[in-house]
Amino acid sequence: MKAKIIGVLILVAIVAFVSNQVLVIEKGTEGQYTGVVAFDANASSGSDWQHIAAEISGNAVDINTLDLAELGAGKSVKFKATVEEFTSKANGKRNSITIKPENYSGNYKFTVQLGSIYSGTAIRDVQTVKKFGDFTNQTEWSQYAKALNNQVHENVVAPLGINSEVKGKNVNITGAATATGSEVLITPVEMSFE
Amino acid sequence: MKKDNNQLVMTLLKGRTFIVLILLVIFFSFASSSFLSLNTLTMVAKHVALYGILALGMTFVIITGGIDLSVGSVVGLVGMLAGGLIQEGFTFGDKTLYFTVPAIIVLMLCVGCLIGWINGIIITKLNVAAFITTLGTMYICRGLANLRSNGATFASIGGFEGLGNVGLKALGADWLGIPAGVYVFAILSFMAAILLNKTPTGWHFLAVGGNEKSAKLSGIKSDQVKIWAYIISGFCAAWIGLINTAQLSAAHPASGDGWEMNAIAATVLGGTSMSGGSGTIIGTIVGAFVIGVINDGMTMCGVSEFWQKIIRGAVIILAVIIDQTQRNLQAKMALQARNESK
Amino acid sequence: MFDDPNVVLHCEKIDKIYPGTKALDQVSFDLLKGKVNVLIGENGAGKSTLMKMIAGIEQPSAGKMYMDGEEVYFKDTNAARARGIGIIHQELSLFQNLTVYQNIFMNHEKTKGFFLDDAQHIEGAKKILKRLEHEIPPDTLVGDLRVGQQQMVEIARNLVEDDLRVLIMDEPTSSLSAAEVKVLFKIMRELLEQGLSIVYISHRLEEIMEIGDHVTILRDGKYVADADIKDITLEWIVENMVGKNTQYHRFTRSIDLDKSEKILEVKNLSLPKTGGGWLLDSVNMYLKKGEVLGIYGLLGAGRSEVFECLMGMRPEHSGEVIYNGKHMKIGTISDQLNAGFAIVPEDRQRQGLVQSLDICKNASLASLSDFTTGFLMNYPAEEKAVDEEIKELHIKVADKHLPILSLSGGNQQKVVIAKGLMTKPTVLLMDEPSRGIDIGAKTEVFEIIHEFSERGLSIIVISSELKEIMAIADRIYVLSNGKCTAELSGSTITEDNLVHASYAGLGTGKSAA
Repeated sequence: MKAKIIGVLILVAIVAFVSNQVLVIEKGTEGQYTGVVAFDANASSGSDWQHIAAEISGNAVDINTLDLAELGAGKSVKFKATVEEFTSKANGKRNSITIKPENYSGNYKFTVQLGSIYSGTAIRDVQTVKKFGDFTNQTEWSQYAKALNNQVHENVVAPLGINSEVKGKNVNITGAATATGSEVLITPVEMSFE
Repeated sequence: MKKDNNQLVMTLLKGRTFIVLILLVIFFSFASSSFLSLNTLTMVAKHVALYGILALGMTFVIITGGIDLSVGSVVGLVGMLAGGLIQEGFTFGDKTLYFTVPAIIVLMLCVGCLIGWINGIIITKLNVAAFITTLGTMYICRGLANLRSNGATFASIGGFEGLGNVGLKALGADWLGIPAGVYVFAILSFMAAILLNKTPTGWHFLAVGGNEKSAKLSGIKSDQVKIWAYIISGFCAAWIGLINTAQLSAAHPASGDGWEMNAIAATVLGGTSMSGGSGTIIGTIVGAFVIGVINDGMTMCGVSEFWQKIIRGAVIILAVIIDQTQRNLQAKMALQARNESK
Repeated sequence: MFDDPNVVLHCEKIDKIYPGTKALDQVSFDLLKGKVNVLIGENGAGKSTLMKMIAGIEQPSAGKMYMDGEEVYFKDTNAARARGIGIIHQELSLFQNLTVYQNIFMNHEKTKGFFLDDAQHIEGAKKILKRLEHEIPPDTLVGDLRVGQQQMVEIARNLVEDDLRVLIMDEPTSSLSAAEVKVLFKIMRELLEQGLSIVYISHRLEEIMEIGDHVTILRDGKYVADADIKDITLEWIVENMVGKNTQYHRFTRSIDLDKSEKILEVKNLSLPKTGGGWLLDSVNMYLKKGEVLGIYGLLGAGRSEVFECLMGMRPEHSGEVIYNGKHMKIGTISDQLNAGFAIVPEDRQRQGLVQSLDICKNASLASLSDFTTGFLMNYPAEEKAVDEEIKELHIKVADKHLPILSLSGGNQQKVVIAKGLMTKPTVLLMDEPSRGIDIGAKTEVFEIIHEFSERGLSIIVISSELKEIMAIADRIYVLSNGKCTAELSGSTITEDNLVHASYAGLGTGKSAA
């Protein structure tokens, strides 16, 4: 009996102690207490977008002045071209146009990806506004690339409402270009049809 | 003349673990020049504390004639629970609870005691053999440890000032040049020695292990005594779960795997009889040192991990053989004394 | 309500039922105040069981106990202890791994605050041991003590508390030397003067006559008689212990035993007792082919020890054994089995059967090697042999692959006998073959004994039941206190002769020394 009372007292003491030593917060509001803001790729890319677009436009060179074999992981480019074909795949989630740049006579095939899902990390890789070191880890770095691609769609591609009617039109393009074999893939940051 | 010889041998045998410890220290200090340095000794002490605290709990269990295989897994589980509480808190509905480090320590010790209690209840009330029961809880605890994070590690156990849960790392740090674990080991050893030698409960542990039927006839509640032994073992394992997590600065679900064997080895080396009824805390402490010195000494001398295992195994078997020899000799001497008194 | 100032504790119609047996059957018992209450009866009569109820070790299945005019119920030893009841167990219940003072104060620890007060323990132990005239150093390990000294520690444990009112002593003298017994009796008288009441269980009749005040006799779990010691004689006790109700018809033999040769002869068989004295003291006996030889004696007279020597379980014995006319060196148990000895042990459950095996395996266990082909068991041969035995011994078995415990006690016993017979023995040793089985099964067992002896099997039967042994044995040796006190045959087999011889060896002092 005595032992039971002591046991209960100890239990009460533990519960009292622990409940005195606990911080209860709303779920997901840790940041307010730790000062560490959880990384949000979309917010981050949104505020960076204007700078990045400007930077790419500023750095862009005419595609005819480049050795396309050295395009590799990405360069900023600008040129005028004629739309050869509009392609829509995956229920309109992977649209693209193939184009022929003005004054170009080589064997490379040029494609501009028009989303809404974008491949690659070309925008992130050509910009210098944010570096890998600014992020905590690899995961955040890749989330940032995806967020930038979303910015492309939101700010550049979607407003133009591109469809198969663009075939044969002339287009002015600024963007990040990468090459795989003899295919050049362009992710646009500025685009206008004539 | 012969009798004097016997007595000399007896004295040597009784202090055998301590003698072995001294010989080991001498041997390793010759074999590796850096062994007797302060850094090395601090490292050895840090490791000894890990085996030693587990072995303290194990000593009580083995004295009552049982065995606790679950302690290694409890180390892993407690580490993961503590790491999780610091890194992610405890989410309940739309609230998240962040405990202070002292509260986490108290909660984790309760978890250890609870697992020990469950072991004890299954063994005594449901009559399942201790070996089987604790083998089962060993797997269950290891599974739970992995389940807590889906096998991942809790890497940031530093906590945040704002959440008021900073400080677990102090358990893995040095205080005045001595690892915190060593202080815990010292305090727990002291408490264990008092409990075993200076309280009625201590006698009851020895009585239940020595002759359970007689203990019951003396009115001792042998089931309760056994349950307490497992609770103590779980309590000690919880301490190691916390200290080990603090030392590593991270909680791994695989922590403590196989440590129960080190604890059993240290206990047996310390002279606790596997059949129950006899054992001392000081013996267990020395046993833990022997295990620690062998492990670290061999590593420093560049002995391969494979050979280390072989040597460790041989030492344990040898210790038990010597133990038996001592018992036989003791019985022989008692008989001799009896004949002389006739 | 029960209230009698001369009675400390009253048991009213106590029953104790264990699975399969009724250990106590409507036993009423008065524990008289300030007296030595003696309880006697053969092994299994229920003495120890009754005492376990009183000490709270076990609880009655039915019946009530009264103390101080109110009903009491002891759910454990602590509850009985709180009423001032202490017990000294038949089997030593000490902690060999602990010291004398730890043993004495176990669960009665003296503390200072939370901590043990060893100084007080040692002091207290010294005081008690001095009172017991055994000044053993209190810090000696109990495991290092002689059995007699351990017994003293056991007694000392019960004297720790001053509130003791009843002390139960279950065969406390079985391991004591004569000098120690004297001290014990002196202490008992002291305790009586202090107002304690004692329950004393012993099979040493001369001790009972010396120390006892009132005797109660139990047999087969039932109350038989009680009387004041001053009013009775040894003969009265023996008569009541062994009973006189049942009559068995005497078997007539067709074999002329006078012409039969001696198959086994034992000369000067002696067996030392740990702690001094002899369990067997220069016993001479012989057995003829086809004879049923009885060994009679009171419990502890050395009956089972004869068998244990012959079966190689007591390598420390001395003496000569002549078997089939040749000197025989007693080897291990399996050597003896191969030599043609087989035993039906006294304790069926512990020594005779393997409870986890089925009936068939229990029967064939001792002769498994006879049913092999190469290294493998030949089950058909085994089962055929078992079937034959089952038929021959009339064992009532529905299916021989049922668990052994599904059988009645009598049939279990027959399985044990079948096991012995399946080794095709020349000499069959049967230790209390009729214990714990009903009267019908008893008669059947005796018929089996008779039948096999007629076929030429030589059988030695131990029994403590007068009527039984008179019915079945051709010749009887009586053992008393390790000595052979009589050899009876034919017309000399009478109850009087048996009873007188059975305590003729007591009190001569040699075994007690």
